[in-house]
Amino acid sequence: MKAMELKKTFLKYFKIFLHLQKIGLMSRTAYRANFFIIIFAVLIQASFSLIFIKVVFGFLNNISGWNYYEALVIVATYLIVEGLMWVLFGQFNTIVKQIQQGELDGLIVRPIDTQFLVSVWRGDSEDIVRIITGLGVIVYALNNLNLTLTQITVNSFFYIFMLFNALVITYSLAVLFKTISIWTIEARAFFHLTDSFSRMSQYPTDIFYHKIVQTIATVIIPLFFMATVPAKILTRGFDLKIVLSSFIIAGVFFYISRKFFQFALTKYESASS
Amino acid sequence: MSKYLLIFYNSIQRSLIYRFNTFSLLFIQIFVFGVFFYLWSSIYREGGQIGNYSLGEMVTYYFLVIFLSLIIKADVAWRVGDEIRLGTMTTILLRPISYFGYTFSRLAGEIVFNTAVYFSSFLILFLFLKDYLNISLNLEQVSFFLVSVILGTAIYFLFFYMVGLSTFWFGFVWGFNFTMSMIVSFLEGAVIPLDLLPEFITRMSNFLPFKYIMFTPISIFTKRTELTLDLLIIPLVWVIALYFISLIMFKIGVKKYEGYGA
Repeated sequence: MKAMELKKTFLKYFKIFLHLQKIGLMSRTAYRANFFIIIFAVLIQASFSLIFIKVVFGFLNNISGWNYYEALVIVATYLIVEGLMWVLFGQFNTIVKQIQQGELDGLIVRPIDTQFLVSVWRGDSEDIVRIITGLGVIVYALNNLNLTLTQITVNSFFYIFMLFNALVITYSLAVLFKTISIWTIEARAFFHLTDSFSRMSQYPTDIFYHKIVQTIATVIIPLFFMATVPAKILTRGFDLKIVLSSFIIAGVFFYISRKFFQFALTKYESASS
Repeated sequence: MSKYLLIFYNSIQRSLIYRFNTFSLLFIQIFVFGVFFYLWSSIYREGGQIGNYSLGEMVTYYFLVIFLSLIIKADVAWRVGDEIRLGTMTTILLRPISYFGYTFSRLAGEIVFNTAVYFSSFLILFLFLKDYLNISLNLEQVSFFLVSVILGTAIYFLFFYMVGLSTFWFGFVWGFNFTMSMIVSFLEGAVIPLDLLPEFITRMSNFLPFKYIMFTPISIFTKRTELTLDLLIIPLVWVIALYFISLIMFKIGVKKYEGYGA
């Protein structure tokens, strides 16, 4: 009985998600030229990350134990997570606008989880090119790494879970920082803050040679789990300790962000009324 | 003149209102710099070298990229574009002021405010990092650097002012602005120092104004280039050219302006 209800709820949320994605795509393509220009810009932005790695590796063989192709997998993972954040949740950016314009009122009163609705309210479909680029780069990098087909298959299986955890962590950080706008209203800086955290995850966290900085990058701002860990699992194989830590960190961050969002909602003062 | 001074003063006042934003941006950029610092340090600790850059030069390069980005990069195109798209430009056009002067004064106020806040913050950061930075200055170099930064800022402002003005023709330039920001950030040397890129890109950048926004001022500061007058005359010519092009663009574009939404 409970399973049936759960399935029904899941389907209901999934339908809403699909519906909002469809509306999002329609509104993004309303200015068609602009839509394609943005796709071009996203491609350029993604290519800069790759050019940067290419230029740096033009002078080196490895960075903190990562060779060129392994480093490419880190960048590709960052691109995929970033792309998913834009396509699925619009980087949780909508909340700031909704708070400033008092539109959050309209979402709170609906018979559906507010965090879910705020998260999927806007999706930037053009950012799918980041995901495609990331996947392409991974295929290219794996082709050039000395891995057997079995290794690639097994590693990819765990990689998907690590990627999911990376997405959960990135999403949770976005919720944590952008929800602060319930108090500050004007919160342009929060756009940049989560974007910067995410952007900086594209470099191997092994570069942090000071223990304390490494701890910060693992537990407080978990850059380690946002791209380095998935890439490590894909290129170097399963590591129980890392995989378990990834689930724990993702779970803890999601829990904290969820509780924080719910707490923040109790402090929300509508800007429109 | 006094009306533009008033706009300039109001712009500083407005920046003071959003000081939380200003300090958050500072924190973000210090975080970004911190990651780059570790990236370059770990490379050089392991015996690596990027081009002919020493660790000090590399760290100083990104230190200045972040400092200059905080100071000069205002959302000019976004604002001008919105004023045209939403029709709010009408209120400015009806006043006895020039639109260019209005936009420029507003930006100048922001730059002065940003310089005051970020210069003092970076000075403190400099004291912590002085062993890692490659800075030994003389008066001639500082003078060249300051003039070069002013010219670079003017190029950045004029270029994105024109991107904003293109709203007269395109109606909505968010995508165009984003694309140009990406391209400019690459060609100005904010992503990678231009002299580390393949030669054809370096050669191409000589025919464009963007390298004078970041790469040239930083090269002057880090003594990676000889101090010749070319470093100031060429960007000055660009500033004059861009200024006149922007005037022509405005003159033609404003005829298309319908002020809907106002």
